[in-house]
Amino acid sequence: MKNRGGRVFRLAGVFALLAFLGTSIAQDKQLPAPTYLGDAQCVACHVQEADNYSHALHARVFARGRTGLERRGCESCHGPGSNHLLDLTSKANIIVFSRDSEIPIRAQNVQCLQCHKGGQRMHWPGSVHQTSELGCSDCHNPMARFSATGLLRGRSISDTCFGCHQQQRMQFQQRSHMPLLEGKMSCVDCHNPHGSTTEPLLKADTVNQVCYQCHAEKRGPFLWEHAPVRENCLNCHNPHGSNHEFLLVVARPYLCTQCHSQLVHNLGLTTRGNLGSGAFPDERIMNRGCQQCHSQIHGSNHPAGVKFHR
Amino acid sequence: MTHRGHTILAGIVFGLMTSGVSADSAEGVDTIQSNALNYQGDLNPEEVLDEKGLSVYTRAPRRSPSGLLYNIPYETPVYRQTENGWRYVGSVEFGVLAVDGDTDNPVFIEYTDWDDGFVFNNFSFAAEKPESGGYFRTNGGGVGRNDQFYAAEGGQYGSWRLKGFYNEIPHVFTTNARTIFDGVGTGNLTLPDMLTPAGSTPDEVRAVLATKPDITSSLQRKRAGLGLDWMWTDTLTFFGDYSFEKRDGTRPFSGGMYWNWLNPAIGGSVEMLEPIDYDTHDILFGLRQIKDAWQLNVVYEGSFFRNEIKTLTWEHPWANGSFAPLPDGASNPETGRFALYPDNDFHHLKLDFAHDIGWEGVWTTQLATGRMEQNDALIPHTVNTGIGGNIVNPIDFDLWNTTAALSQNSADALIDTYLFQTGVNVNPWNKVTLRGKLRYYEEKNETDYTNFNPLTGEFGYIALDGGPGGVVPGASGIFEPGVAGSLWHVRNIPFDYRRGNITLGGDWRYAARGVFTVEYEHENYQRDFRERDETKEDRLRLALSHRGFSKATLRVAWEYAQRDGDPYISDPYDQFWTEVLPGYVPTIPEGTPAQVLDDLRKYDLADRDQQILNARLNFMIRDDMDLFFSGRWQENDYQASYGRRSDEARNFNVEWTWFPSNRGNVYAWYGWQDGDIDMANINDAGPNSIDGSAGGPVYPFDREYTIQQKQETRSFGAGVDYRVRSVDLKLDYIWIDSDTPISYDYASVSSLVSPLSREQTGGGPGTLAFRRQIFQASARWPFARQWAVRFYYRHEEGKTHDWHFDGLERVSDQTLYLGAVPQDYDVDVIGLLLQFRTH
Repeated sequence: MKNRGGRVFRLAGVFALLAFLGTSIAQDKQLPAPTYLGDAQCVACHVQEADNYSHALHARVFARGRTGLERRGCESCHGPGSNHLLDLTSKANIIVFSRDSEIPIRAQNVQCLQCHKGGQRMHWPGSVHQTSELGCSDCHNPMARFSATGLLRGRSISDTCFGCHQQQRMQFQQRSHMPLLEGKMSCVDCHNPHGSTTEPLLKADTVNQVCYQCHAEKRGPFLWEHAPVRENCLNCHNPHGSNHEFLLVVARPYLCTQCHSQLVHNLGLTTRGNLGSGAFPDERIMNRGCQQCHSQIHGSNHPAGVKFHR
Repeated sequence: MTHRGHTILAGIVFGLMTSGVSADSAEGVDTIQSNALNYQGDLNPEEVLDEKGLSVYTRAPRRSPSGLLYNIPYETPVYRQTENGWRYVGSVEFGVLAVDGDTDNPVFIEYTDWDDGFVFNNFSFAAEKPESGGYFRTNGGGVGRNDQFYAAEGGQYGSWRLKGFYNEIPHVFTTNARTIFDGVGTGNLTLPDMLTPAGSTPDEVRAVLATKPDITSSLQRKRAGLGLDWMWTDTLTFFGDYSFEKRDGTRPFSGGMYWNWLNPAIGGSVEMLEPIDYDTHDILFGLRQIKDAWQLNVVYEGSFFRNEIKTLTWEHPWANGSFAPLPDGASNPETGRFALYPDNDFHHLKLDFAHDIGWEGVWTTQLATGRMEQNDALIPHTVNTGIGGNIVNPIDFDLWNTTAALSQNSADALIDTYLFQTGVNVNPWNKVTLRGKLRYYEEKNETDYTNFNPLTGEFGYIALDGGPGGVVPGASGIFEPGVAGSLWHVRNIPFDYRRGNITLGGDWRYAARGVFTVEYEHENYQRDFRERDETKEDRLRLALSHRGFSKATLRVAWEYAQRDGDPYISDPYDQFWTEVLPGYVPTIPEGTPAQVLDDLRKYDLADRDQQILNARLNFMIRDDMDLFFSGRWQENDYQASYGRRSDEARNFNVEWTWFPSNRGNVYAWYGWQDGDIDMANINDAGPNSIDGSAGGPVYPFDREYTIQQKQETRSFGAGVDYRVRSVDLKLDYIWIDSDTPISYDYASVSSLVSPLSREQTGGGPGTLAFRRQIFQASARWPFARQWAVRFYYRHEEGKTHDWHFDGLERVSDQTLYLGAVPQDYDVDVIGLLLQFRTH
């Protein structure tokens, strides 16, 4: 066991130092109460923006103008534009959603939540993306079409996520992986980036319930359950990719022997000498390892499946 | 509705009949329909960059609030107008693919259909009537191929939406398997005439295998769905989805009759192919109510899995043998039978509620309850007939091969789940957010089954269709009162748990663009029938998000957690074994010998010190250039002497992106991750004591061994997506190199499963290695206003070394393998595709 006291304090110190960095920004400016100008005024200058926007989803919805907010067009998201005309270079006089915006992230997101409150975003407050001060427009851009669906910043859902989650991009290229880079699933099949009650932003009550969405056969319940399987698939699998077969976290049979010692099974160390090329080939390390016999490792419904043999 | 309206509606319905739904980020899967040749920006006809960019006021690309560069948008399509106010756009891409090399390698075609020949690569069509908000759009690709996909959606913006999809996903496991069995893909595998059940020799099996071709084992997912979103009012939406999935095919599987490692002429196992014929129906419906001060979601989700092949029976080629004479008229078990996955039903009802509260706060609550259940008819203990066992313990299979021998006819297995979460998030001051959260989740397992045979009045079961019972006296699986060591697991263990978490935390906005977060979480985890009744974990999380640097955004988070709990009972399962039945006699006078090593800790229950450090730093080198660093470090110390003792994982990534103009971008990235896992165990010395401690008589130190698994992966990618004159060029290169060396050490030859010398065991079984590189190029030249030609090239090569297959023969003593040894591959794909679009 390692002594961690020093490390804990050092890390806490680093955080405290970082927290006091960059104390600039945000000075209140006294401006007249802004008023709405209407789309025509905006489009007069922002021709290219309007052209891009014209084939994005919001333009089509707003075109119907069902609500007062929708009828405000550009200003439904960007807020009343009159102060913008007072100083065209200021990013504080109008709500913009880019890096140089002087509007706090919370206020930017509130603009989106005028229409997108609740629903999939019910658990946004307090979620890790919210507390990390991500703006809706870090992942989405409704002003143009960058992606096939979802008004995403990237070309696809996964491409957008990989912008920050680069480790996962690498894992999805490993020997065993889910068909994400083959275009058959996306990060959002399992995660809700808008917030969830299950960590890490999972779309179901538990890890296993997420997995059962596509692997329904493993839901059971079975007569004979394997405790770590029933409780959490991640005890044995890495969902994003693995250098082992079947997304395993450890090579068989060591995957099994890290938890199991079992009297009379001669559950000793299997070695290179037990491979097909060795002096004592042993089916417990070759090929499927322990699953050569314990093949129903996810649970058995056979009366004689006590040890997952049947 | 006008005649034209009826026509459009009919078109929508027709489209949906052949396609299906996509879910959203909160519920369900199916969030994407595409395939490898149509994945994210592969220059399909609709993906044409707009050189005008996002704005005329700046040439530099825009950045998101965190400083991430926005891509270059696709150009605005020019709609064709119809007389009745509808307008439309559409496109198709088709051509030919030529594939050369190791085209049937399972890594290459694992999830993709790369067959050469004609390819209708993609199509899209969108129509809308701006005046009414009516719209319809459909797209698809890979027409007629194993990875084909289609999606369609229609409705009225802001009012209703009908959507559908159809998607196929291949999953290839191996293309070089060989099997002796007839009936592959069914639930009944039989031996060919040349082989005799329970009477074939390894040479005879080899001879048959030599006549068999290599076969492919794969399964195909075919999934279709329909969904409707209906915005009843501006604040109330009803939605419902239904999807159906068919899974067909086979996958590698195996089973045996007894250990073959003990004696080459005894026991044996067989690798075979499991038939897959699954149907899954998923239903999801609910409502969303959104008011100014509160929001409500109510969602029901149902999933109904049906397995059309419930059992797999195989004729066993090997003579099982015996250490004792067989009874008169008895033979070795000739047949084995599996119970494959049972049907199951899943119901889940969830209610989410949020209400605005004071201090600009919100109170959120979630209530959910679910049920997983299955009640499949149980199959008998064995499929074999007549007399089995050995002369010491003959078994009359006919008293066990009938459902009358079961204590109950069906599984009646059921797990209920409950989830409750409530939390508040308030902003008492402009710069401070406080939050608290309480979460409780429970799984309650109601399954109750005991292996008792009413025909014989015996507890127990027929292990491995009679295999062990024939080989070793007393190893049948049937409890024998008064016979020493008749120790069998006869009652199911209804594993379940309750998990409670309380989280308190807050954010301090120390600057307009900086937030410091502190969170504390306490977890209480109570499990039934595990080695530990209760574990507790305390976790501290500190995080910083700083956008205040003029040229950078920094996000860093550090977590420290400590887990401990009740005393660890290494073998808490007595009540489910025959140990508690009258007549049980242990093999040694003191009691039942220690079954497991007392000092081994299962790592999901062990004490644990955990640290996690996550950091992301995005440097905006220039207005049009980014350098993004990310890293993660995690360390777990399980404070255990045996079992998984510790693990550590490190990851570092760097990515460079440059948008030199509105004609495209250039990127490169490098990723590195490594890790190690440290494990230890002790080989048992036999049932000589009830003392299961390390160093004791059953688990002496001279039989100890340790294993270290290390892992290092390096990955590199680079690409260009750029318009050169009028040609759109897209080049991508990906390289990955993974090594997983495993080493071990051991105290003595007694630690090993076989009497091997140090020279024979070496320091480890070897290194698992996977290397792959993919180069992909697309060049599109628009030779006319509506027409373009696309040249596609892909080179892919890969190498896999897996020591599990070193020296693997398909027949090794009395063990039969499919021989699905990973193969290296090298493939080139060339495509010539024609694109047409209506604009």
